Amino acid sequence: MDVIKTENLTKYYGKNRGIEEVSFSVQEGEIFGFIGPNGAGKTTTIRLLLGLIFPTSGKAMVFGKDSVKDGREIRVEIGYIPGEVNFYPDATVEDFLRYSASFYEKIDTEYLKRLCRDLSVETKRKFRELSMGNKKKVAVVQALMHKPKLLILDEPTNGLDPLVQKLLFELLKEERNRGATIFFSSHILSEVERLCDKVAMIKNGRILKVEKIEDLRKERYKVVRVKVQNSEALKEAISDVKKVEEENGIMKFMYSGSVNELLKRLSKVEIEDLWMEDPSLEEIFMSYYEEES
Amino acid sequence: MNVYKWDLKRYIKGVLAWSTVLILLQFMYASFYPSFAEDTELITKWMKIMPRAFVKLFGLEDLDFSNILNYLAMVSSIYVTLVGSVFASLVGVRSISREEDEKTAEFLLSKPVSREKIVISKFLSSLTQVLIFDGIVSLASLGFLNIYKQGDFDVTKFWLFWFSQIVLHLTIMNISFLIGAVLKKIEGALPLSLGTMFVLYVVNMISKLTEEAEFLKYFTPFSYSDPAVVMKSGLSASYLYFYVFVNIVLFTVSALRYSKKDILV
Repeated sequence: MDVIKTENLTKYYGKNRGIEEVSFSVQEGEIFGFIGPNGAGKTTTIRLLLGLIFPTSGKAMVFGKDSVKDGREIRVEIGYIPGEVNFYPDATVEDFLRYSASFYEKIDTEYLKRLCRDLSVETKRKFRELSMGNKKKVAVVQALMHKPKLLILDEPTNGLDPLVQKLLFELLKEERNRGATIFFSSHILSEVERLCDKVAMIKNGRILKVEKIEDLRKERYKVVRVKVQNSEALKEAISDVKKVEEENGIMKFMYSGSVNELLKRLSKVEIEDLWMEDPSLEEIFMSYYEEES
Repeated sequence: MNVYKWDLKRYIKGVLAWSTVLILLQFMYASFYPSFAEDTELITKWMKIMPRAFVKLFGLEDLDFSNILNYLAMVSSIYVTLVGSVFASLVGVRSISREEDEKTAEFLLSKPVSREKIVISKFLSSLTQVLIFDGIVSLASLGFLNIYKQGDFDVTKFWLFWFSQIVLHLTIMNISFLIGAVLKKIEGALPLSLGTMFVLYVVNMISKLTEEAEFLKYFTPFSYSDPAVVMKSGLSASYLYFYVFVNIVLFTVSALRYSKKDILV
């Protein structure tokens, strides 16, 4: 079942582009990474899913329901951790969590207590007194307390110290084991790589690609580094490769295509040393973004 | 109910603070009354040498200050009508726009609650805040009048006066509520709300100054609830119907607009 499905989802803020014709789907139980540079439209997409803003055209379905018409019903089963946590500054964490819980029919108070304990949330303090990391912890508790079927996280690790990050990722894995679907946006590739099953790349408001992490890795992209005396001769041999970097006499480039073919071409040049590796996700993305622009 | 309760709890301290200030103001004015009432003749003479425009503005023509209600009407035109309206305006405008300004709207709207429920809860909370304020202040007013009165006064008229003020305050609140629901930013909504309120107040002033401008009185609720007029001739039924009509329209527009509003946090 598609937990999230968007069809040509488009949002303009007046004349300014938010996103354009974004279509993708997220299956039940998946951890789905939504990745792109700042200003690409990640947050806009999330806000459309939550019904904070309304689409200019196209539509978003969550649990098979329309995000505009059935917003309230959809949100019963969503837990949302915003990128920047802004809760009521004068309320104590305890009061705030109670208010948060009052939106749901039943809350497992034992589970809520456990969450607070695991994350060592200071419930007696006022929200304004908390540090950014501690605010984020409260945001995590209010998003998980009702055991949602879908978790939406906007740049979850933004401003979090490594310790809290680790806690968060452990909780996310637990949520996944419970059967929750997780959708999160990020511009940090390593965290996507660590967690996600599938990933969508967005840039300038448009989806570039949606792919499984394994497939991305399987793509024939190779990072090739060659040590040569005559770099001109090498450049000639691989003249179809757009970008060749040179570092300490070692030429580095991304290559997609038949490895056999590459070796034949390289053999025409005097080679001192050769390394061929699978690229990191970061390198895949960078090469992808560069191709697009 | 949860949104309503949360909202009310959040603002109750402010409401009580405003009420306290108004109680003190009333105490101050009321305590002047005995010395004021002793010299009614002098004051009547004094009124005659005052510029006519001034006398008209404050509705002081032919007012008999031996009746404490007339005194109440005169001083109230500033501190109940105007200050109360400033309070009502703030209550109305911050109701929705503060959630957006402090970005708590992102939290609220990510919860399973419909826009309609939010707008109704917030409206009811604002309504309650104005009623609490007016309730406290009017009861204090009744107390002070009883302490400082020189003779008996008509209690029905007293409540009619307060009723006219409460309806005015609710309408001002409702206008500001609409502005807060429509505009994107509190930086714009707050001055626009207060500005609108002051303009309406001044329009009433102008309508009283010359006969050419008298027609303006139909365009401002301040003339419907003008203390001097209410003391003299009560609150006209047609104005009351108009109040009801205007308030229904204002809230309907607020609700329709808010249910389609993009929350930019």
